[in-house]
Amino acid sequence: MAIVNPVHGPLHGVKVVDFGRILAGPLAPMELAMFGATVIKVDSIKRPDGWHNVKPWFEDKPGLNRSGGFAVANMNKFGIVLNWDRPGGVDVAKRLIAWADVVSENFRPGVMEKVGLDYEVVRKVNPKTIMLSISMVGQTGPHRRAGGAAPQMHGLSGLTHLNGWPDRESIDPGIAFADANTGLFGAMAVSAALVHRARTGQGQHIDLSFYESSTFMLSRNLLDWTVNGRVGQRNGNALMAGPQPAVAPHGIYPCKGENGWCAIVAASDPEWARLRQVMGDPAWAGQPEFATNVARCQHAADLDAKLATWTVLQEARPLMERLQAAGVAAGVVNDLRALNEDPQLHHRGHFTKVRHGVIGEMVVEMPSVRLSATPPGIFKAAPCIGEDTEAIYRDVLGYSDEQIAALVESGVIEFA
Amino acid sequence: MATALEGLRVLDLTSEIGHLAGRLLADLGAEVIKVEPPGGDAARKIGPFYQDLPDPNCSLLWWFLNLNKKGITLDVTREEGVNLLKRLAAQADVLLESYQPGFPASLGFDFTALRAVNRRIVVASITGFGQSGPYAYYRWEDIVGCALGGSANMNGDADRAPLRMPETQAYHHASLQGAMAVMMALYHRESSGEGQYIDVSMQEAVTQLLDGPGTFVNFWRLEGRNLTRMGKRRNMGSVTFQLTFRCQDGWIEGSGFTGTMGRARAGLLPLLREFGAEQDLGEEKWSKITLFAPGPGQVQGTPEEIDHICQVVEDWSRTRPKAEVAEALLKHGLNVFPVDDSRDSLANPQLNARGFFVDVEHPELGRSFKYPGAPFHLSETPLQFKRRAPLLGEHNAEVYGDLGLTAQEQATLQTVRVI
Repeated sequence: MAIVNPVHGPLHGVKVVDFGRILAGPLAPMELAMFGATVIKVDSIKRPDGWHNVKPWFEDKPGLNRSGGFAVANMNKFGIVLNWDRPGGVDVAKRLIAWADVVSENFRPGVMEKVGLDYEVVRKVNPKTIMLSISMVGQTGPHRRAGGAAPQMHGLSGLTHLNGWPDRESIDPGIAFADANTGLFGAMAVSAALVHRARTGQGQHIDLSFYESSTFMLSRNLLDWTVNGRVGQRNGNALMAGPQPAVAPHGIYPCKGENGWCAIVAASDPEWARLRQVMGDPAWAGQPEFATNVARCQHAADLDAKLATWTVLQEARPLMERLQAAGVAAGVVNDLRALNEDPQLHHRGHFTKVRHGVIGEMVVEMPSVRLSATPPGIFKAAPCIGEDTEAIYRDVLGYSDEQIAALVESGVIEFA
Repeated sequence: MATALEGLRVLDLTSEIGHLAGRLLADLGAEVIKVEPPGGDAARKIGPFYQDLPDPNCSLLWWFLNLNKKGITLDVTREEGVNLLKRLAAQADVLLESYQPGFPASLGFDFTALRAVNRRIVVASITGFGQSGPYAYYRWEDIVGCALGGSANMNGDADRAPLRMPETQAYHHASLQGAMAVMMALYHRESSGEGQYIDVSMQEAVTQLLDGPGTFVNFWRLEGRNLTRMGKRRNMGSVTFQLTFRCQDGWIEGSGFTGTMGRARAGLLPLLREFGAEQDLGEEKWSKITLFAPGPGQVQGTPEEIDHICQVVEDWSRTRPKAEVAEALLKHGLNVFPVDDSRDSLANPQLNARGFFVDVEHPELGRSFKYPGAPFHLSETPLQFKRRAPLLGEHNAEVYGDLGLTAQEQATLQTVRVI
């Protein structure tokens, strides 16, 4: 296979070398690859990307190339093996950097410097390079050496503190929010740098941290502290405006059947009137404590309890459809099976299929953005480790068969 | 110093779901003009407010989402309004909107109409579900995005309702996707000379948060496991692990350090020993237990065994302050951090050393406030924070003046409430 991404997205022709590991590191270049960039993922057989170990596993068995987690964090990429700690390895990495427009990495700050591949070196190899460095808390500062993963960052950024029920413990939000968030900011920052480079010819270094990008997402809550001196607390599903709920009803309500839930919001008095109508206007809903949004906010807990006595008798999906038909915001809680079957996602072409070297046919998810002239796409599954090693060393980097043999000899290249 | 989007002009007609997109483009140096109806954008009514005054210029949500933007008023439901919008669009590089699908076309300012006046314009629609399909005309709210996008199913205590994410992350992520796609389209325009149309769905933006696009869906497809929320435990199918641990004054959070994830487990026992808190974990069998793929000489812990390790850790941590617990764990190479609140964040030495918080002047209040600043750093084109969010109609005279409207014409348009 030629080492070119055939997807004619907006980044078609952009070349990326991806030294990323685990999740946020690989996600940023994968996002670029979905939009057409040609991405080479660098891996190692003796020290593989840790995400090869993460569940779900094909046939529920661990092993290289069996991780569903790895497979969906590295789609559309070409894969090579490069052990840069072996003699000649760093020179190979430099050749890759010379080839690339974008270099992406998420080692602990200091590691690239130690290897001799930090930005100062990279810019000498190719001054137009855009280098994306993702780290836990940033490339500078007293804690720059900190390591970790998404959950720690949910705690440190304040997300966990704000998540949970007021009468229970604060809990993690249950998904790797910070990884996905950081990965997306990485692709965004590279896109901004590409615009600048296209207009001026100048490359640059991007210093992206989990900590700052996650904390940024909670800005409203931080402003409540810096402006009003108020520390935000967890409030279940209430939409708070400082000390008060802003809107009621605003929640996720139980429905008939196993794990049946439906989000319902009546953001204004007319929407509340429509919700009452769908409910068949029960006597409780006409009481003065529920007459206006201000009154409903004051009696939100009572309102939630009464609303639940009605929702619990309905099937979630028909309830959502009836409410939406009446002009009330509502949405079922999609569990994993339901997400697979969601009619809107299918209409959008959200799911597509690719063939993975070990797992076989896999269902994967498209980006959430459609572009009219340069649509994104998924043309291949994640590479099995080192899948394109030979083609890249020969056709992209220009090594002869003899040179490749020497690199195998020195341990820079391993074949699976 | 230059900015990345120097000289580019963005018209921002979005509602709350899309506000953050324009904010990020503005931070990156674009001239972003927030276009509001003459009565003001609905987000101005969302609190909390400065000193709890429910004034349309005092919403902290508005301040956050519209920092660095200019602001004008324009009634796009009126013919004169649409004409003015098209004149503005002829000089703009990007237009962002989040109306119900079909609404801009019904008034004559959809992508086709805008392209007719400006072939280079990039138009992005940031909506709940995208421009077509069975949910296209559904009403959206942030919590509805968490529900239909699948994040709520994974978030919350097992015996209670699923939870939304704190602080409208579904809205914010629809915006992030929009900002990224706009810049990709601008990059493409540099070589093609053509603009294009971008269609963002909040529901799909949320599905991308589930451990990367498709991880959880593949739990169902590859393992047949329909995972759901487990409170403070992370649900990874056949293994689960506890993330947060009670301390005297809050919690600490870490992933997997109660099993072996890499070398993490190695540090736990020495740490507990140091405090005389290891209980029975010194026994041989505990040294072999691992959370993930067992290596040579290791066994995967049963849920009961993992629970026991967590219990021992928590017996120790709950009697100590979170800062002390986190520091002790970090010292032993275990990656944990305290669960911080906003007060802790403002005091954090790392954020402060890096200048994460920036002072923003509010001349109308005679004060300045600390804002969270750049979510990432660009070495040659740093993000800039020049201007607090616009007051209602603050830049009407400047923007409409540049368009060639005389003061008298502007006054007339204001009288008839077009601006």
